[in-house]
Amino acid sequence: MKKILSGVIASKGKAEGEVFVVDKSNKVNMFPKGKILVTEMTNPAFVPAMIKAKAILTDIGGITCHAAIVSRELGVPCIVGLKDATKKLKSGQVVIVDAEKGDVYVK
Amino acid sequence: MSNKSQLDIFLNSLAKSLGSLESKEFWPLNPTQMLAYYDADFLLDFYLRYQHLKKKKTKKQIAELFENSDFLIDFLVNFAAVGFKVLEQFNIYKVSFTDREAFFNEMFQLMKIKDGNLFSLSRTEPAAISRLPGAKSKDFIKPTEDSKRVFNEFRVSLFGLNWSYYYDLFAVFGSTSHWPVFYKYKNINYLLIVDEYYNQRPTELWPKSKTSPVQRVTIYRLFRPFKFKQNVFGRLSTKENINDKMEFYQVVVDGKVVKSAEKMQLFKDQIMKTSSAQTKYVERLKPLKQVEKAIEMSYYSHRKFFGSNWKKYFQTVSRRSLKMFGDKFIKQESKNMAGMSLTAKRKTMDPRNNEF
Repeated sequence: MKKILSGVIASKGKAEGEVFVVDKSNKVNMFPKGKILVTEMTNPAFVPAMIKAKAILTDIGGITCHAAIVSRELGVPCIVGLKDATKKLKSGQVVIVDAEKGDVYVK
Repeated sequence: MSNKSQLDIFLNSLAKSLGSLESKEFWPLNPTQMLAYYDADFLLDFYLRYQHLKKKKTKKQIAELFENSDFLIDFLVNFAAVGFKVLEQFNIYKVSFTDREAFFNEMFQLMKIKDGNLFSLSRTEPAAISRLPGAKSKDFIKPTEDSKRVFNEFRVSLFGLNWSYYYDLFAVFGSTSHWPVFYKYKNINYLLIVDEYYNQRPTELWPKSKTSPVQRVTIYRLFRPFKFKQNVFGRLSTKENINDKMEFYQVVVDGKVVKSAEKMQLFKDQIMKTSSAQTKYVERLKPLKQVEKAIEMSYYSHRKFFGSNWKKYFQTVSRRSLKMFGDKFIKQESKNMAGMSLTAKRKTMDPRNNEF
C-alpha cells in the first residue's frame, strides 16, 4: 500500500472502493452508488451523490465546510483539504480511504 | 459582565472562528468577493434605520424584528465590523469609535433580549427551547437503522436546500441551531440539539422555491454526550461520528409532528429536486448577478427591520454598487484570515480602529 494523499479528517471511518471524480456539479447526477466521491469541493447539488457515496474526498475545505458537515451527518468517511485529489486520482482507480488518520492509499 | 467586555469577548470568539474558515470553502462566491460590493452601504442603511427606530420603538420591539439573534451576529460580523471603517475611509459617513462601540453594545442587548443567545458555548437558554414548536410533546422517536438513514438524508437535504437559497455565507437567513442543551429524557442525560429551518419557500426572492414542500421545520435530536467545539457562527466542529450517537429524534414540519419515515422520505425527495434545481440556477448566474442576489437576500431577510421599503433600499444599493464597480465582475483575492495571528484578526474586526 502506498500513501498518495493526506488531508484533514472531516468524518472518521475507513472505506475501500473505486474512485468517481466529479469535476462539475452538473455531472453529479451520474454518480454511481457505492463509489468514492472525489471532487474539488461540494455544494448543495452534490447531496444526492453524497448520500450514495462510500467515502468523500475533496481538494479544499476544513472541518466546517459543506462536505464535512454533510458527511458527518450521513456517517460517511470524509477527508477534506487534500489539495490535488482531483488531479492525482482517476475514475475507476481503487483506493483505500483511512479517515481515522486522514490518509488515502493505493494498493 | 460589563458591556465593554462583551465586545472584547465577541472579538475573541470571532478571531478564533475565523481561523478555522478557508475563504474558498464558501459557495458560490467567497465573502470578500461578495461583501465588498455592498457591506458599507448595507451597514449605513441598517445603522440609520436603527437610529430612526430607536426613537419610536423599545428595544424589545426592535428585537422582535429579527428571526433570532444569529441574524445580529451575522450582521455584526459581515457588515458592521469592517463597514464603519470603510464608510470613514471613503468619506461616506463618519461614526466615532465611541459611537461604534455603543452601537455594538446595543446590538448585544438586542441579542440578549431576543433569546439570551450570546457568543458563548451555551448559545440558547433551555427556556428558549420550550418555546419551539413540538417541544412540549416530548414525543421523541427511537430510530431503526432504516428510519435513521431516511432521517439523516432528510436532514442533509434540508441543509442543502437552505444553502441553495441563502448561500453558505448567509445560511442564518434560513436556519439556526440551538445547542448544546443538557436534557434529561427517561432519566438519562442527553445532549439536545435543535435545528430550526425557516423561510424555506422564499418565492419573492427565488421563484423556483415554490416547489419546496416545507416552509418551516424544527428538528430535535438527542445524543449521547460527545466532544465538540463551536464557532461564533454556530457551526459544530467535531471529529466524532455523531451519527452513531443519536438516540432519539423528532421532526416538526409546518407545525405538524412527522412520525413516519415514509412521509419524511417523500419530503426529502421533493426537497432534493428543489435544491438541485435551485443550485444549478444559482451556478448559471454570472458572478455579478450572484452578488446582486446576495444584496437582495440581505435586505429581503431583514424586511421586517427595513419595513415595506426594503425593495427600494435593495434597488438603490444594487444600482449604486454596480455603477461604482462597473459591469465587469471584480474578482478580488480573499484576505487569508487563516494565516493571521489572533491579535491581527481581532484588530481587523475591531470597530474601535480604522484598520482593515
